Amino acid sequence: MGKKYLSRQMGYFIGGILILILLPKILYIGFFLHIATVILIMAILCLSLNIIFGYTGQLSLAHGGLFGIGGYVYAILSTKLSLNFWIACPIAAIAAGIAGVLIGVPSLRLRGPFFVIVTLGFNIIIVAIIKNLSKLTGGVNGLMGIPGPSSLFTSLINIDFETGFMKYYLILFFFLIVTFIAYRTKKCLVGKCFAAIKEDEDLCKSVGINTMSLKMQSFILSSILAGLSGVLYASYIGMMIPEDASFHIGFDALVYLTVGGIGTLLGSIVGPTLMIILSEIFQVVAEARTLFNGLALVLLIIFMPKGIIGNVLPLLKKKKV
Amino acid sequence: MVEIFQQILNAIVLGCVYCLIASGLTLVYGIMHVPNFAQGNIYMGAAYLVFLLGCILGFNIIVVYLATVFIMGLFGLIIERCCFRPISNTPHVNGFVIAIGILMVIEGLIVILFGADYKEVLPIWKGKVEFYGITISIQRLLVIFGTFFVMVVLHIILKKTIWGMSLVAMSQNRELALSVGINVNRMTELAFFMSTALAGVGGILMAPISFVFPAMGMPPLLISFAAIIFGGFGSLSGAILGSFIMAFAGVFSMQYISAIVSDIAIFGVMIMVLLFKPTGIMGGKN
Amino acid sequence: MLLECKDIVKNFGGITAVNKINLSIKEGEILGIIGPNGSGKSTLFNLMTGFLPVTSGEILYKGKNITGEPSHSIGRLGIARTFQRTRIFLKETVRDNIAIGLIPKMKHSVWDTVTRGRKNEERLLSERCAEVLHIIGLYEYSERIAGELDQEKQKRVAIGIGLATDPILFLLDEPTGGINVEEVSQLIDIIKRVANKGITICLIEHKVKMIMELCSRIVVLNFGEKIVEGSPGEIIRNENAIRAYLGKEYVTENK
Repeated sequence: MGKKYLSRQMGYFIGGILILILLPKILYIGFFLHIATVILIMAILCLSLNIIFGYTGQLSLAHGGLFGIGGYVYAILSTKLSLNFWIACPIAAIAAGIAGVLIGVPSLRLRGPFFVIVTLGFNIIIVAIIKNLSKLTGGVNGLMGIPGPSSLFTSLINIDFETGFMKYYLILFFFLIVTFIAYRTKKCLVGKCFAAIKEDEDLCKSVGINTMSLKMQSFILSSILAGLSGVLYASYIGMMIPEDASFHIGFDALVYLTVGGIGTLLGSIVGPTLMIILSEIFQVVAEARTLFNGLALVLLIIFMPKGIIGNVLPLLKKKKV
Repeated sequence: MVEIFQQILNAIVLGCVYCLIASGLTLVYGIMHVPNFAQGNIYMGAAYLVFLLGCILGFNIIVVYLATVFIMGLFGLIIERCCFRPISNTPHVNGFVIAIGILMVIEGLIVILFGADYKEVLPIWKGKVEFYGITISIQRLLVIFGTFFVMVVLHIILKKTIWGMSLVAMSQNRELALSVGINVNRMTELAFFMSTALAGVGGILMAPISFVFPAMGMPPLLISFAAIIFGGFGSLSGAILGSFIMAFAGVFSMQYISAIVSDIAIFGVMIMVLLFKPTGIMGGKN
Repeated sequence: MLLECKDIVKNFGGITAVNKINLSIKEGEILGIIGPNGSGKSTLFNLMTGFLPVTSGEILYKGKNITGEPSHSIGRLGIARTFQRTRIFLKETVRDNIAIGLIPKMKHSVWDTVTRGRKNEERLLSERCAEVLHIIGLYEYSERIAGELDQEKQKRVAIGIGLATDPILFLLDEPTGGINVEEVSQLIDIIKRVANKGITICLIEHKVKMIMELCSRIVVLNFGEKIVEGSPGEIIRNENAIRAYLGKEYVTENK
């Protein structure tokens, strides 16, 4: 059973990647491709939240702010310093990681709901800082005209990143990398540690595991990836406003992740796909989004707290055995 | 000199509002170990309800006040029954997430019904009182006395009535309370009712004083939680003390440093406390 | 002297849970700590392992002062423990439970995810896990989910987790709590196996059979104080010990 299951899993995985690669050909209408790209960006944010929340059990409400830091730092580096995407992107992601350190050191000492609240507080502080550093961030009006990546190695390969296709593929590329990082993290020893901390932190300490250090590592990795999703957003949309760093973004990511399945890898892509497509179908306007997502969250926790993947996957496994 | 007293009064008024919200939070967290993150938006909802019933529909303002507090209490009952009780046997995190969901639903509804702009609720009694060169509007005086009255009533309920004593017993040892025959479900409903009603009182008192807008619930929520951490988890008196300390820190840093720094200053205080005394000032278990 | 507690005091608000206790654990021995409920036994363990801060007093491990050290550091130093209320990872398999105990000695940071191969790790883990699983007699249950096992096996898993850390001193807090008398002999064998590996053991217990068979020395606590200490034979004849445990009536009866 073991080997057969594995190759079936590989099959699904490769199939999934193929679909994602061929998607632009199927969705030849620009709007649909745009939706798919946005879904991928949110999926990366969900993957990042999954690492600190799904794996390690600490619910961070600061991820909107980390997303915003990534986007804003990239925006500032690419517009004011005219830095290339490929240089500005990692710097911005690391900036988000540094913010993660600053947030994590005081917050991770707290357990449970107090960690949640403190991260929410930090998110509010981040937005306040962004609004007030108006010379750098454009204040309430934000920054415009943020460039995407320019042609890569024009002498060797002439890729024009201006088309919808290439923008999609670029973000797909990062999505696959982040998925791989999340997968590796979960499977390696550190992933086992995270799961153990999630279940019983004191028991981990009694065994000699430095849980604070591990929680920090989880949070920093999570922050870097959240920042990365912000960079991709900024370079794709071309514009950053303070609302893009709001805790509402973090809430949305939480909703999507819950829909998909907290702790699962697939959940991070299934969740945003379903929710974003549904909100398009139901013509949910921006004002109604909070209500829509909030209702979904409440109903889900009551009836299906493990999300779609969380409930469906065990059923599939049972069938095979 | 007068300046300082003016600021002190402002801080007391602010502290009263935080105190109401924080007491409600402590009640529910102490007993159910459920952090009701939606508490801030219930306070906000109460303010909007006053706006709707009092300003738009024009009902008698006293009736509006009483009705709003009662409706908020009822709302607390509903979310306990429909949202928190069904998940009481599932992992604690589910409670966190559902509370966030409720928070979002309230905000979402308000934004759709009223829009995102700032509303104004007119005070019942216009006019000020002056003494020793300090002016305070009657409305603000009302906040202070109203809060004092409500907190005294709360104290009486918790210390002198069977219900209150059952609540306290439950917060200390739930299993024991059950075995002694306390109707845990009924008590939990009561706790939630009181908790959200307290937030409702905060909302009705604050509405005429400051603007009413969708995000108004967040800072009090955070500050109330900070007050609880500061005062020591589960301790009502700690929550009250913490609320006033936060209020004073906020008002004085806003005045003497700057408005932005004030937000950060409050969290700065909170973070300092956490770094040096994770169990809060009044101690107690986490 | 492996572990020494000097004048340990622990106050909780107005209550003194531990009142100037002096205790030493000699290398290689099996020390028993007995006493009625609420006498401060588990609190003492919590103080020794850094789960609770001491109000005053010193704890010396191998001559070094470890008072106030964080619990994970103490775990690293070679002091393992179990908890009175069985604490294990209920959602994981038995084998994964044991593996957690092995992790602190292996490279387990996020960076290592990127830089290290997993084959070698897996092999090492497997070997050590198998070793521990054999000692606690749960090798056949390796892949079972720990939460599905009965209480006695769960207690064994808890011991296994501590064993996996390769401890020098193992503190066992009521390892047979809630276990019926027939199953106790299995646990006695396991603890003997642990002792035979050279691990010093300190045991909190209520069951007389356990204490008599295993312990070379016993300490009796009551109301947070040490009442008496000595060999099992001495303790069972000691009036104060009996009075503490069973009440005044028994002393006069057995005279």
